[in-house]
Amino acid sequence: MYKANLIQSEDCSNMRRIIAEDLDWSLATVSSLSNLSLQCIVNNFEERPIYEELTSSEKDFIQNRVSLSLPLHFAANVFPDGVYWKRCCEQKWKVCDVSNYGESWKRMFFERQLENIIELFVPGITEPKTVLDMVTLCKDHIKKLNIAQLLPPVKEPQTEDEEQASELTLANDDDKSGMDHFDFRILLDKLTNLEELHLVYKVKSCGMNFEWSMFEMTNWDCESLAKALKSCKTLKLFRLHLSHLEDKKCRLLVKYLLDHPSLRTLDFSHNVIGDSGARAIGKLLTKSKLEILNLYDNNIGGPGAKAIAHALSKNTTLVSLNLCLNRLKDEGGQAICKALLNNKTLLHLQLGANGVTWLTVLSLSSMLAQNNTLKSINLSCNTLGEVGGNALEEAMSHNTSVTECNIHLTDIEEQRVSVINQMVWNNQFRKQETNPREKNTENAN
Amino acid sequence: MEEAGKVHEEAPEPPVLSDNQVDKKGASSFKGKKDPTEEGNEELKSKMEEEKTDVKKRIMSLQKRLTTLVTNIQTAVDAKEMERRSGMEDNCRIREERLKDDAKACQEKVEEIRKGWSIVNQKVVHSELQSVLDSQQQLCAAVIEDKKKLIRELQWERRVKEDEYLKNLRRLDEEIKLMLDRMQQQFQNLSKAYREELTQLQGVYQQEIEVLLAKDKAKLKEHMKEHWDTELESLMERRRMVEESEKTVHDVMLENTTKIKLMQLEENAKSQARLREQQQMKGKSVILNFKQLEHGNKIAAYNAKLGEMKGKILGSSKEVKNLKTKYAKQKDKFMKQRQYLCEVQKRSRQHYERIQKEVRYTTAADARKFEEMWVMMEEEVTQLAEKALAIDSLICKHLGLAWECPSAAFMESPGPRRSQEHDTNPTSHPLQTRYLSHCSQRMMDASVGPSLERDSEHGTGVEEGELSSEMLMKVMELLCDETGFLVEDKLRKLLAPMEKNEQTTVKLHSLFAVLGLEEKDLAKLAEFLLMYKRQQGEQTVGHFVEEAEVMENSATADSTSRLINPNNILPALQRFLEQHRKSVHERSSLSHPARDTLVEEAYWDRLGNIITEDKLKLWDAAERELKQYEEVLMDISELVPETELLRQQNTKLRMQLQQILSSTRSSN
Repeated sequence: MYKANLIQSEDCSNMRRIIAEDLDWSLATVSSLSNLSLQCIVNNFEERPIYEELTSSEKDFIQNRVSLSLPLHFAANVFPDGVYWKRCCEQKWKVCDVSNYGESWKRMFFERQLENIIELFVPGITEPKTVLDMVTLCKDHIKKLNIAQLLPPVKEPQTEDEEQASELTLANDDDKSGMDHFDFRILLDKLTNLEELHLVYKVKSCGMNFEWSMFEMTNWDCESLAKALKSCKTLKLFRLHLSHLEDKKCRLLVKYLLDHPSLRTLDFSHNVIGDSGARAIGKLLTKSKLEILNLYDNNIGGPGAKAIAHALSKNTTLVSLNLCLNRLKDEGGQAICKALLNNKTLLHLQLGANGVTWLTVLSLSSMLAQNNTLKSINLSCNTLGEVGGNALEEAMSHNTSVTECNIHLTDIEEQRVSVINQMVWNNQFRKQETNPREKNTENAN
Repeated sequence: MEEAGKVHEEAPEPPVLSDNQVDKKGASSFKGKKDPTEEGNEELKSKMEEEKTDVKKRIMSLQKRLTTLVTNIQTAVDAKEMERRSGMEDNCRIREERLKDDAKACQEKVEEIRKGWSIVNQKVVHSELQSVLDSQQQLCAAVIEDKKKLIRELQWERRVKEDEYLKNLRRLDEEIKLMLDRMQQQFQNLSKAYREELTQLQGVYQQEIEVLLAKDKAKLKEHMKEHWDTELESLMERRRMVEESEKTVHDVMLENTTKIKLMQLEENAKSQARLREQQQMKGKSVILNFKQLEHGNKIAAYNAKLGEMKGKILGSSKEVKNLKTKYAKQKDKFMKQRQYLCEVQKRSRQHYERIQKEVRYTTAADARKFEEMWVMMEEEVTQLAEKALAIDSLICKHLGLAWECPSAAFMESPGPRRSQEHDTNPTSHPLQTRYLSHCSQRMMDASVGPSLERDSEHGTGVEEGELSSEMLMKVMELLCDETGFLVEDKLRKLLAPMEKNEQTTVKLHSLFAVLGLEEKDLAKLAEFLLMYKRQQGEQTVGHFVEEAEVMENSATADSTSRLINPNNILPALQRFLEQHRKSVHERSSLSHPARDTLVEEAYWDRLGNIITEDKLKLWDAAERELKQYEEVLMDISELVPETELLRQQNTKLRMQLQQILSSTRSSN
């Protein structure tokens, strides 16, 4: 190449021939000194991190080239959100949707990293220090934690005598004896920016080692979690689903969440909360500023629904209430419909698959005649029958606010369903006509 | 349960399908609606709005339809779940009832057995007891059978349930797949719908554009038509105008041509007449030309000469110019040189003065050194002389001669140098005074030059002013006349045409050059001449001091106008020159006090001869005598030890003799 250069400089007319002869020869000039020096910084970045004083383009250069094997505690302090973290994420995970993490690659990296650590945390074996080390690095960046599994401690092979002995002991002692999961108390009070927490007490792909105890939380777990939640003052959304949450544990959790300053969304879907748990939640509704409450797929019956309805009649913050797939029956449905006569804030009400009948629809229609805030109603999978259909049609003809009404599988005649749908449709269209901006947001939702 | 499940399975399907159908119908109906609106090409704007709202509606409905498709599934699942729950509850209830019945039946049988036992207790006969026991056993067996049957049933039920659960799971799996497919389909549908909408919108817009285009084209055509019409009209008008103008032009041309032809004819006649005249004139002019040619030749010759002269003049003027410029340059050059030389001269003069100063200083220093040396030498010499005298006296004493001090006075008298120092001392030795007078006279002589100057400055300060102007001139003239023989003949010839004043100055310059005088000495010379005249009068050729005194006395009495006798000038000049030369010479030694070599010689001679020749002879004789004496003494000193030895021998011998004598005496 050198030779080629020389010859080229000597005789320009020979240039073509020389390029043809030497296939390796390239016209690319030597990279500029600034690039070379930047490359040098990159190569020695661990020993001499020069970053802050550079210009933005130079920073990009460094983020693009620096080795990804830098120690995390070092990189976390040096690099702000940017290309470096993008590279880290893409190296670790195949699918990276940064829009779920507020368009911040750094946040995504740390959140997923911490989630991984917690999901693979085995109590009694994994050192809590690994979590704490990570937390010290990433506590400012984590806003959301979505933990999809929590491993139980490894069971020591117990002898038969011991098993018998343990059977004799009290259930509480049994709980304490060793099925406790990760203790969130060491984590939550340190994450100062945490806003969302999704928890599932289950074990993924357990295969033939299946045990029911893998899919529920112990009393001790519940207590520690409740205390941890109380210590986390920034939490806005708490979701605990598929975790076999019973009345007792629900009461315990709610007791600690009563005075939580920032909690807005509570999701206990797919649990086994009964009436007493629902009563506790009703108390929570009166005390806190919850906006969204999701109790989908629980065991709440009429008395529990009455407690919630009582709270609802006084509440002024709740926007959405989901009670689908419970056992409200007419008793609970009517109570809630009556409570809504006094409520002007609730926008979404879901009472699907609750075994309610036309009796509830009657009180609902009388409520709809007065209430003009409710936007969406879900009454699917209830046997409303002809009477209910009539009442609903009557109610809808007077109402202008309801833009969504789900009455599938309710034994109402198809013609009536289409009429009701048309009315709802008109409402919706009218609303969009008057307020096109809202339409877009709704559509987006 | 299975039936319920089947019902359940089927249940969600139809509404979905129907929904789809309905939606499709809706969509098609929308499409159908659209077509006529599109066709109507009037009132574009309103149509567009309609179109837009239509599209909005369509999209909204599509979205709703698509979401309902999913929510339907959810509700279906919910329903199924509820069904399952109720089924489970039913099952539980049935099971419980069954268990209760079973328990009741069991209880009855157990009661029976218990009763049986009481019968057993009553029975005493073996056979009876046996039969009763058998029956009891049978009853127990029946109970056990019942239980077993129940257990089997329950187990079977469980198995069925398990199968069902598995089936359920599979179905769920299928459903999830279905849902995924549907979602996929929905995505496709939605995107298709969007695409359709897009194409539709595009079509609409295109149509709109086409319509607008057509409109614009029509407009354009109209405008073009109008434009062309107007253009045509204007063109026609133009053509008409052109034709008219062509006609007029043609007419004018015709008129003009006739006119021009007439004029030409006239002109031809005129020109012919003129030609004739011209021919005549030509004949005359030919003769005239010959004459003119001759004349012209002459003039040309003159002109040529004139040109030459002019060229010469020009050349000379150029030369003059050149010379002038050269001259100016030279002048400048010389001016510069002069300035440079002036500076050089000034510098050299300063240098010279500095050197003079240095020389003066060094001579003064040398003189001082010399004096010091002198004094020291004198002292040394006097000491030596004293020493010599002392030795002399010693020798004299030795010789037994009467020594007389050669001259005590001389011993006391100091050297000429010291005498100078003690100049002011009034009580001086006669010899010293002699020296002093001699010295002072010398000194006065030496200081004639400077004193002359000083006198002229102090003494004749009043006369100076007059002297400088008129007197000076007169004296000069006189001097020049009298010393004319000194001036060269050539110079005199050259000076002849000049004025008298100038003559005198030039002559003086040459004279001074010959005599080796400088211009500044002129004033001095004049003064000296004047004074010399006065001295002649008083007949005193004494010391200048006296002259000065006399001059001072007579300064006021003498009129300056009185001129010197011309005869006296030459000797006066001679004398002046002598004095001047001396003064110059002495000035060159920088007025060092003159040393009288004679006096010094005498002094030194005396010192040298302080031991006279006789004395020297005497000293020589004495030395000789002393040497002889020394030799005798040396001989004596040599003989002394011999005598001593002999004396000792003598004593020894005497001793021996005595001993011998005594011994003999005793022996005797």
